[in-house]
Amino acid sequence: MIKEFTLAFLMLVSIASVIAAYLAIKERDMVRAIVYSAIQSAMYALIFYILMAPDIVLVYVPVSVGLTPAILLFVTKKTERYDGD
Amino acid sequence: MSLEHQVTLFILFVFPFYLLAFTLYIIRAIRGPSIPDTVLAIDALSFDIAAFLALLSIIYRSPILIACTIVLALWVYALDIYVSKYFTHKEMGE
Repeated sequence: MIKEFTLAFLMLVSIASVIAAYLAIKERDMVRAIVYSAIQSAMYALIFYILMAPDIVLVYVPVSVGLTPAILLFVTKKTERYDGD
Repeated sequence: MSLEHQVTLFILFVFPFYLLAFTLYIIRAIRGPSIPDTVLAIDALSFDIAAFLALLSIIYRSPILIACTIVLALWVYALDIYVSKYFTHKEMGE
């Protein structure tokens, strides 16, 4: 029962991560796209956790949720916030 | 019925409510009218995910998985600080 639940939850999280990646690509507002990318990274961290790799989660979460949005916001501040047509 | 079996059954009974909450948070994050709404939705979603991961570590009977929940909650709080700093001062601490 727990095994089936784990596989079903893994499927749901994978679908959510694909949707978040699509939204991050299609978004014109850069700050919102960065937040969508953070959602997708959180979903990937959840996938690593369910696949029993806690050490990878401990490295992946700071880099993907903390460091990457910070650097991308820094770059967005230097350029333009809205993507041109 | 042993206590261990009861706890496992209770946690499995609670999981659908967590999944419903995740769905509502994601809908709010996508349809939020302003960016603070989106960021707040991500914040609440991640704290909820941290509690959910603690329950999963009880289900899998592996205490080493608990450390990931603390790291996730702290770094999502850092994401809040970055976005709010960007919106208040238009600068990132340099």
